[in-house]
Amino acid sequence: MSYLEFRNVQASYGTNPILLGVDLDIEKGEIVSLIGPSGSGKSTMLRVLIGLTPLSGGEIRLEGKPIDYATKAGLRAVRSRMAMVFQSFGLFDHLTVEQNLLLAPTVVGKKKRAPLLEEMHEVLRLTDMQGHDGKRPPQLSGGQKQRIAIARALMLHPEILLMDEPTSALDPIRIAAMSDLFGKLAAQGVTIIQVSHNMDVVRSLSDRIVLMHDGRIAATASPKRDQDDNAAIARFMAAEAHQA
Amino acid sequence: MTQPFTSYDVLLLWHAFLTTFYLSLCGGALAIAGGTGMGLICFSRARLFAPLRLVVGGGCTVVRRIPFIIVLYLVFYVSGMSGLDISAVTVSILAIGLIGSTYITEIVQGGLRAVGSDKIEVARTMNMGSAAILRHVILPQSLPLIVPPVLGYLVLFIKDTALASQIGVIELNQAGIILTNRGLPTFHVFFTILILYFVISFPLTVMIQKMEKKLVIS
Repeated sequence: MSYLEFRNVQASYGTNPILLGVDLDIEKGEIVSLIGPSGSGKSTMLRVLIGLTPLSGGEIRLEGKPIDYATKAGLRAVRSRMAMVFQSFGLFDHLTVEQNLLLAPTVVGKKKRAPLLEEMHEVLRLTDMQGHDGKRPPQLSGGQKQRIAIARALMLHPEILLMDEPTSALDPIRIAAMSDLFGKLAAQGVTIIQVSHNMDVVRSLSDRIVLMHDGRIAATASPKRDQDDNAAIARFMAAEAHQA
Repeated sequence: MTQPFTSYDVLLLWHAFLTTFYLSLCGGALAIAGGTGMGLICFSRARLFAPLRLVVGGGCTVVRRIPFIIVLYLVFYVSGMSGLDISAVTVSILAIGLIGSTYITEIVQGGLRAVGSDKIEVARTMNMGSAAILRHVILPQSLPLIVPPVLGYLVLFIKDTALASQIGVIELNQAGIILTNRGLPTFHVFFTILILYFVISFPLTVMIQKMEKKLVIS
């Protein structure tokens, strides 16, 4: 039994099928990178897992138990164990960085603001955003917004961290720092599933690379273990790197 | 030589001014309350509100396509037929509130929908409930889009209160007609009325400008 199991997972937007039966096992503390051409279903995998896009077939199991997406209680339970960093960041422009980071812990977690401040400053330090807590998102650059989105997800103490293009707006130095941070989180047992087109990050960070194509898994590879079954992945990564 | 206003004329104008102000204030308040409520119902995705959404959506679509004067007559005759003993002023307030709320429903709904769906999805993934999302995410971002056009619309509606004269309400327009019928110079009478309308609507215009600045800054 794996920590997280996708079993014949299917999803569609209206009548347009996106995931056509995905089977995937993910272990606790593993870093899995989803790669593939646009429209292959990578982001939908993240959305389905956190309950934003409904399953049209199959099931997802967490620690052996099927996740109940049909009820509010089931959704709350699964979301309380996850956090997601969106490609568009999704920061609340009317709130300061501090308010963005403390919104969920105070409103949902019912925690007091004062004890959270120390934790917030630590998370901002980890993302190299210390001193920006009084600013609003429109006052930040794209890279800064992305790091605040990551910091906000970290404030939720997720067991599973879902990230859609988490380094797309970062410069190479920040990418290295964030990769280092993600590696440390995984070492602490946080399971990370990311969608990325940055093949350097994918190669250096991932325990496993999953190539998706037309709503199905086309190939998987474990770069750290240097498996042989990654010819398709190598071709895709070379093509992506060439385009970049 | 022009005939000056007598104390009776001034009293009539003052009374008409207060009536127009009262119609605008109460009709506007009713329109804002009704429009906000109906806008929230139309915006809501709760299954519980599905029949209400249909009724409100259909009702707004129909009422917005009818001239205000027809709505006024409809409310006037329906209240009469139902045996309710309500004054012409109350009928006018109800008609203003009804037609105003259908327009404000659209403004409120449009403002709420303008908040990016990605932000609402972020809030959902953080386990925020619908009420918390509305309070902490949607309303603060949509108010700058809703408040100025709603107030701007109310300024437009102050002028439409003149139609209440059609069912016997002595508001500014009707007072002007009474005074000119009594032989007072038309220009003097309606210039005075113009100023009185301005006195009612100008503070609201200033308030809109101030609120717009405040909302943009916030």
